[in-house]
Amino acid sequence: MAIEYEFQSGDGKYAVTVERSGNGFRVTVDGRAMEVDLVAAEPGCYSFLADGEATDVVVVRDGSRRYVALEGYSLTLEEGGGEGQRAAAAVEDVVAGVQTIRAPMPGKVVKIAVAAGEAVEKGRKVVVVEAIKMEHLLVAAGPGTVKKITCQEGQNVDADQPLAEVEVEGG
Amino acid sequence: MFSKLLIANRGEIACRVIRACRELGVRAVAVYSEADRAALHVARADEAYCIGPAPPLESYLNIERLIETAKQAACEAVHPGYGFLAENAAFADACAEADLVFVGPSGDTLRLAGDKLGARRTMAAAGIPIIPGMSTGAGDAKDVPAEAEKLGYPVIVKAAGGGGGKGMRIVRDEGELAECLEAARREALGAFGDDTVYLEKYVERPRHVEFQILADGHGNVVHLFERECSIQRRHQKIVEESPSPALDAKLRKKMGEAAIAVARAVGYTNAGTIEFLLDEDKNFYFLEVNARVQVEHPVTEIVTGVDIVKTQLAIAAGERLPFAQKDVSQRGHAVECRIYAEDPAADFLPSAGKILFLREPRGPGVRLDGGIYAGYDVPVYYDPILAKLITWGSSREEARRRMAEALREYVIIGIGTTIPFLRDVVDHPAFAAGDTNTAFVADYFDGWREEVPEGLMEKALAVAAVAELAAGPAERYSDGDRAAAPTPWQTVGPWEVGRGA
Repeated sequence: MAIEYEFQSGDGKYAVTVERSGNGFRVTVDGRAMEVDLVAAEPGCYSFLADGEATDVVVVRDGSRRYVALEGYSLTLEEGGGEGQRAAAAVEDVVAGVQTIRAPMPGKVVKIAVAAGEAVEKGRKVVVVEAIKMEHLLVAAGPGTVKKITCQEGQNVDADQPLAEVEVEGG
Repeated sequence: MFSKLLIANRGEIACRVIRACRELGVRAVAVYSEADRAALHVARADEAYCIGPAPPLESYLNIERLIETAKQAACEAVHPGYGFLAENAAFADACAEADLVFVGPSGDTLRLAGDKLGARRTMAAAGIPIIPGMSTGAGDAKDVPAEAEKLGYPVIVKAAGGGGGKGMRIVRDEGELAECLEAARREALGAFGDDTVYLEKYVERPRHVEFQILADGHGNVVHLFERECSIQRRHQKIVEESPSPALDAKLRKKMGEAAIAVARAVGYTNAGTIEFLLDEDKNFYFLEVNARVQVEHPVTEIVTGVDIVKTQLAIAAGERLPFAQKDVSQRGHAVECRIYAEDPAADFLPSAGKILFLREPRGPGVRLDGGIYAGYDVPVYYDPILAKLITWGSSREEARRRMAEALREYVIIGIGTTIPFLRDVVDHPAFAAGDTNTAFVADYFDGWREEVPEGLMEKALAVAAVAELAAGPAERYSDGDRAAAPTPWQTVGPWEVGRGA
């Protein structure tokens, strides 16, 4: 199963997808896929291999922040996504095969990732709501079809406000 | 040799002195402020005593408390390190009165070295080249604009009472003179309690070249050659090296002899540094005496093989210098980079906080003098120096490349440091060419921002995401379920003695 992450660094926002692939992982960064292998050494230190190219990296996690040091540079990333996915699960609401995606708390719709009528996989990001400086990824509860979108990008929303509906197969 | 010594300092220099003490079998007594209980020098010492609250005036600058602590702990000597009370004549006097040996020159020498105008007069009398300028304070001069005119603009206003860039103003023409004098006087009064300022000819784009000297109490004075410290920001050094790429054997000999003459002129004892400016035509001028061990002493230790801190203790204990000038030579080249807790992209503002991760570089020709550890909380109260990274090479280029690599290996996470800035300095073509002067940072690094190479962000993102799922070495062979990770005994598997894994 693929896991999606969203990271911010400075003004840049990045979507990263990871799935296991053989002994390693297939990572997609902003649409570009690569086969990589990462092994933890001493705490914080990792050996990273991508197509045979070896990089010695340090990753330190501090709350939602990741510090990544490699090749003499130190980059700071803010994660907004992994945490949000868990938050999204709590407000998933599937009734009679229809999942109503609701805002987990008052915030702002920063992204609508799908269109009405679009087929979606389980875990596919549907709407992203930003609240308390954190992005919440609201995802499809199962494979199915987007029935309707009831919000707009940039719109301020209240807690529990319906944002989209997804018809879930076999739900 | 002493049996017990108090170190009136903190951080990396306190750790450095502790090492010297341990090698000599001297018990090292550390002191610490209430903010420094967890500091590395406290853990490394043989004994440690709290000397008061965090603000330096109430702890590391509290002469009475330091003397009292040294006496109570039955110390015979006090090493002041650099900064704090290192060049404070009153502290040297107080040590002498309390029958403690001050590891440094006498109070009288410190007073003379600290008085810039007095030092200028002494040097002029001894025949040492000084920068053209006034020999008395500007307040006593009848016609300051005429003096400035005589020197020729640009001129520099300096405070008689101190250094560190305070009370200093560059004056480009007569229109700016009155205002600069006033500003320098105010700043000097605030910083040194003395508003005496004077004018000197301003030397454009000089190199900063200094000579390390050692003087024992038996009249022997030797120099350990030069260090070039031209790479400075806000009048503070950040990269130093030895030898200087600007000196040839003839000039080196001449400057070394001048340095010894300076030391003799002020009756210097112990380790000290004679600073010179070297202009674009290779004329050198006496700048000042630094009457202490310098931050950058390791580059000299590495190229000469002399342990300066241990020699300081030997001299203070009354021993003779164990070598003469003819016994000292320079071997290879050393470069030092100062690692400060500062944000180089924000005008080098201090950056205090917790060090979340630390990896220090190693390898051939790499030395690290540090005062930090992973998990250490860098306090806001003191000089933000964290460590000094020094590399040696058989040539300047080898030392420089080793430095570039060592800086790449160096990881400090959690606080901003000068590491990325230093990496770019060491990589700069002008630095690689040895084409350095005190305007280097202003010329090439004004408004510096770190530029991350193409593709690095994508790699970092991939790493950050995968690190969440990545297995440790043992788990590699399991199904990836951490809870079910096998013990090493279960994973030994096909490994056989003598065959390798």
